[in-house]
Amino acid sequence: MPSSVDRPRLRDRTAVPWIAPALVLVVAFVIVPIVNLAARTITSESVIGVWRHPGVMDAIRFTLVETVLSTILTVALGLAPAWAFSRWQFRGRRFMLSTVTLPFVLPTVVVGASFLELLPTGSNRGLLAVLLAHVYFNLSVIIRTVGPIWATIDPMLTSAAHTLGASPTRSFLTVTIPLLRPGLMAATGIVGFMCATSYGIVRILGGDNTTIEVEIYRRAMSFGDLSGAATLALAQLLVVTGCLAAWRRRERAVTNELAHRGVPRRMPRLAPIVAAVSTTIIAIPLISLVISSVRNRGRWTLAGWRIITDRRSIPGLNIDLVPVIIRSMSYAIVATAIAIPVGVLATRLRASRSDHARSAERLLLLPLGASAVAVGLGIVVTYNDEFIDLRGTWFILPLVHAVVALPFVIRTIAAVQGAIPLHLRSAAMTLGAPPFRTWRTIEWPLLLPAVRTTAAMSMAISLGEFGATSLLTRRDTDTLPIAVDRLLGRSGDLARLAGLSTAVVLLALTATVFLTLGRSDHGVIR
Amino acid sequence: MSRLEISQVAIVHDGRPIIPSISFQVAEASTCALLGPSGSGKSSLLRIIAGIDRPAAGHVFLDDADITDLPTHRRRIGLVFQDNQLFPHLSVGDNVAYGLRHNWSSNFRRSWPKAKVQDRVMEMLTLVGMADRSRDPVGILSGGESKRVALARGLAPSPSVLLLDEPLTGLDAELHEKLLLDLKNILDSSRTTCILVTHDRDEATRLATSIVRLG
Repeated sequence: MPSSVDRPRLRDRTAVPWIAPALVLVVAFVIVPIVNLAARTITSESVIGVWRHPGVMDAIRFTLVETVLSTILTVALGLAPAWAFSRWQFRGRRFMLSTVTLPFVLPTVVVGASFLELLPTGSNRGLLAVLLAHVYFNLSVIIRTVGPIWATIDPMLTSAAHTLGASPTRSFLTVTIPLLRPGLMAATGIVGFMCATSYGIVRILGGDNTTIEVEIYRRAMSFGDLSGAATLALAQLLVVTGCLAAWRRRERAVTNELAHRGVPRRMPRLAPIVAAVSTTIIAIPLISLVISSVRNRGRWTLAGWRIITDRRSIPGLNIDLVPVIIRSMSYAIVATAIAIPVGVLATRLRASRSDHARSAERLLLLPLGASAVAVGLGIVVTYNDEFIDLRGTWFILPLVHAVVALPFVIRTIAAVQGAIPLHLRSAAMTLGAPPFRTWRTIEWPLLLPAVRTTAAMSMAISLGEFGATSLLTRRDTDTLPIAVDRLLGRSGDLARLAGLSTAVVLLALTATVFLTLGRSDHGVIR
Repeated sequence: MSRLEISQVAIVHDGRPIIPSISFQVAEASTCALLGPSGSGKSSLLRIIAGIDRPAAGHVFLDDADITDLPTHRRRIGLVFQDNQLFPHLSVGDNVAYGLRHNWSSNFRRSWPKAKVQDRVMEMLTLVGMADRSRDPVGILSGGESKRVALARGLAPSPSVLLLDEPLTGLDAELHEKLLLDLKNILDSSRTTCILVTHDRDEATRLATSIVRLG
């Protein structure tokens, strides 16, 4: 585990230029819009009155219930695959790991549409459907966060417990689980946060249930109650960032990824079976989505695919797929081109361990706690007047997508950067390499795999971003998730088939980007 | 105190025979040294006796009972690892208490009721000269101190047989000599049946009552 002496200390003065671009993005596209939205709309009546709406109290209750249940279920079900993938090498491991990691970067509308088709009518809308989709969505967080720490636990420690009389269950509970605690804490925090702020999944699968995030959207867009929506958004921001900060304080330091992996032992037969079963379970909803796009009322049909590829205008279903794909991909590329350099620069801040640096770092992670819907609303309110009309520009969506991806980029790259031994930098410098050359020749090559992973993640986040985009998009700037939502929101078989076919296109694009660009063996989602 | 018998045990790694066949006995309350160069299969044999690995052939008997297929936690055979394997999340005292608190096998549990655990921990830490370090985290211990704690932890649940995997390797000459004398006293006073792995002929001669050569 790296100690404080392993970190170089930079003075605050040298750290500021590195984080300036990230700070500007977060302040301009998260803090200013939300503060401005709150200042313009919140009144004393709304602060008190909004809680009296029965829908709001129901949303709070549902958010709490689904967050707690989803998190417990995800952690419980994620431990077995985390063990199998982190401790053992077997044939097909790399492919299987990529597959089980895929759902985390899949657009929520794709996962929502998959479960809508997979689950039997009647149980495909409600708490159970939301729980299953959340588990599916977040399983990879457990595998990717707990797994690397599990891999560093020397298997001889459990053998030591056995020689002292502890049964396998007992040694798991008293040795393995306590040593996994940092990973479990981090993973539980991420999963809890993802479920608490869930929007797309709940909108598609929630039925009559809403989370606070969905309620913010409903209050603003269905009831025109901007004031109530802003009050809820501000309350959610305060509670979520407060919880995240408290949780992070309890997390221990990152376990060194390059640490000892223990002596190789004979692989239990269960390991590849657990991995194969997890992979199959993850693949089933995706295969089901593809099949559903070509099946209607028990018959095979290509009607949905014809609608989205023929460029024929059918009333109510006028989607022209090619420009939507080009637009979504362009946004993803631009968002990644912004998020990666800004994120890499910002991780230099980690080198500075002062209080100012810590405060700035917390600020950079703020987009995690902010309601995407509220950010969208805030941008509409703030940058949509005669002086600044950002909403009418093409770059507003990629900019917002970059801000949404930024915390993931920073956390992933910072975790890998923290694992680079200081001695490597010192060795380069004693051989005469100046600071930039040391960074370029030593740190950058070691960071590159994580940069590739985060680039894939940023592109996937941009391709699937739904919350803020649903408020900022216009008919001529639809992205793929918006097109899917619009089509699935209409009644009729043709609309459903067209929506599912578009979801398959989105799935294929995201999977291609993630599986080709993202190297699953690298990077830790923290 | 128990009698251990190794009968025609074979060790194979990746299809390569490390030990084609070996048989020997260790008498009650005696210390047997396994002496041999690196790669001769000493530590592998120790792991087989502890039940961590399985032999390619042969049997392990404890007091005439075949324990070859018995899981590690039911064997009542303690092992002090070469690299100690102290639990990093537990204090010195909790490491020593682990074998008294956290086992479900009836033989151990009945021996150590909750109230007596602390007394036993202090007894063991006193034996290895670490009585004042019970609350310390194991991360701050020196190499020699870690060895002592590992030894106390291995002895605490009164195992039928104690296995020591190169317990004095990696220590400087002065500490090596001091710990060697301490270890001899501890093994003599606790009258534990013991198998010691070493590649140091002098260490084997001074600590053990019998020597088995490998390689």
